[in-house]
Amino acid sequence: MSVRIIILFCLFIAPAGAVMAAPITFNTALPVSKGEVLLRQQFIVTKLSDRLNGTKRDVTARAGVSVLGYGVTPKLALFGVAPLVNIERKIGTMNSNVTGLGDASVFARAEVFRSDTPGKTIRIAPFAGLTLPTGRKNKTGDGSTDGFAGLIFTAASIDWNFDSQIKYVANRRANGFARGDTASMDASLQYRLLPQTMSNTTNAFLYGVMEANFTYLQRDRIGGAINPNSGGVQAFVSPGLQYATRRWIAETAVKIPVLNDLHGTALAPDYALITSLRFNF
Amino acid sequence: MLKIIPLSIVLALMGSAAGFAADTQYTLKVDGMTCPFCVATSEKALKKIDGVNAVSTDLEAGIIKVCADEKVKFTDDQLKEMFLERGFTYRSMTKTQTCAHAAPAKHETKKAG
Repeated sequence: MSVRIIILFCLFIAPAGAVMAAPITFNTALPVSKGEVLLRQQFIVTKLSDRLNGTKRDVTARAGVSVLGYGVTPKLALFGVAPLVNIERKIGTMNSNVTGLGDASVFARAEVFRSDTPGKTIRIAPFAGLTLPTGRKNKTGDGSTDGFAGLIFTAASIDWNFDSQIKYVANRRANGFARGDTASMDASLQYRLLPQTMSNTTNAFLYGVMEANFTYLQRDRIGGAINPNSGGVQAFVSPGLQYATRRWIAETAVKIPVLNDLHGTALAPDYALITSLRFNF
Repeated sequence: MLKIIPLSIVLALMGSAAGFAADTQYTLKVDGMTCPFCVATSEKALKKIDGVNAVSTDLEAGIIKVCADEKVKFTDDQLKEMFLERGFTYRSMTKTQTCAHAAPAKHETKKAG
């Protein structure tokens, strides 16, 4: 599994408008009101391992992902995502360890539909952005500027929230290498566990979270030739917990693969552990 | 002493009358709030308005009660814009001359059980 894929696996594991609970494994649906600043700090550990021809391959990626959002208007929000990554590789007797800024992303989201009723809301918002080559090439980044776009659907009530997104990433060529494009579908259900009944002292909700992620990866190209050990299909489920107060949210989830149909000798993830804190100012 | 007692009574009555006259309760119907944070965001915006003394919210009913003095003159357009910016939909407002809040200075959030 390449550097960019490992980091993207970490990043898009992050909506304008204030619907507070939000997905843990993707950042595009984070709620932020006009004039408000949102900060989400994620800590993500991703483990990948297998044994290839008797050689053990073991990769641990640790990422501190900072997400900053700003509500420009009630319907338009801008986001920046900056990952600081550490990738530790052990392949047989060869070890490597690299730390640095990964490829950062910027994107805009515009709400195009909203239907509010007492204690409920439905929202639809397309988004589009760029991933910039801010990481060190072939170490913490892959050197290309890539585009992505998608659509978010959110339905929320006092008892539960549902977010889903479809996203397409168009990867460009850099230095003779072109990563394959990816298409993904993600869904997140957050169900209020506590309090079961609200009282006049209720100031926080505990949500149980279940998320599902499906990604199709096209094969990479090196100098125009297809890399047979790339591309494929991945699916994950991510159970988690989210504690939402009036000012901040703490959340954690484990991203578990249920389908790792990758081509050739591509290294597949074992799991990712995600913890994060979120503040709105 | 005979002068002080009637003066005290008059002052007390004036103070009481002023208190009743100053406090107006606005009951706002706001849709789209689904969480404690939504409540906090809405209440914070209302508390920034000079003259607002207390705010309480019934999240399940989508009702925000605002206790304010005579300086505050809410309009539908003002409230519609304010809640739109916060990500919610303002529907309507009713105004009563008596504030239900026992402790106007204390801001509390009330959710129906």
